Amino acid sequence: MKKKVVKYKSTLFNKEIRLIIDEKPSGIDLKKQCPAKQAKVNELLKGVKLPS
Amino acid sequence: MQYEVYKNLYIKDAYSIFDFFSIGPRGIILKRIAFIPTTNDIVYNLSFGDVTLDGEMSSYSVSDNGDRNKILATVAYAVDIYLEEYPDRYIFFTGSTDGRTRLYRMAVALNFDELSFKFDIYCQTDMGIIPFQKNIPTTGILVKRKS
Repeated sequence: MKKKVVKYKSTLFNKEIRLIIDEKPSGIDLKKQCPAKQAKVNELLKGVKLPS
Repeated sequence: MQYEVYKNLYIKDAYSIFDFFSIGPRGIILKRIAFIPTTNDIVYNLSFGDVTLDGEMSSYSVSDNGDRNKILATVAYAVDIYLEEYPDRYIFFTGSTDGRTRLYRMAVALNFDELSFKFDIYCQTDMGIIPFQKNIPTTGILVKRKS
C-alpha cells in the first residue's frame, strides 16, 4: 500500500488542492484526539433528535 | 468562495484525518483536522488543532500564526471532501470555548448562502436541533450533504 496523490477542486471553492492519501493505517488512535472535547460533544449529543 | 486555503492535505485512515502545515510568522505548525466517531453512529465530531510532540491533537492551542481565516477555509474544504466521501454522515462541531463556538457560527453565517447550496446546516439550541439561523446562540453546528 502506498500514497496516492490526487488533484481536487471543490465546487465550493475555486481553488485546486492536492490530496496526499495514505492508504495504510496510520496507527493514530482517534479516541486520543482531543478526548476532553470528544466527551463534551458526546454530552451535547445525548438524546438529540436528528433532523429527518 | 474566494478564500485562500492550504493546498496540500495529507489524508489518513479513510478520510478520518487531514493533516496540513500552517505557515506564518511563528513558523511551520502541523495542524490536524479529525472526524471522530461519537456515540451516535452517523454523527462525527469535527475537531481540529495543533499536533503536539507526542502526536496527539490539542484543540485548545492558540498558535497565533496569522492565518486564522485560511485555516478555517481549509477546515471547510476538508468537510466538503469528507461529506463527498461519506454523504450519509452528519458532521457536528463546536468550539473548545464559547468564543470559538461563536466564531464558527459567525463564519458559517457569513458564508451561509453559498454553503447552503450544498449542505443542510442546523444549529443546536435550547430548543433542540433547528435549521441554522444567523443570530441564535448555539452550542454546536450540524452539517450534512444535501441529498
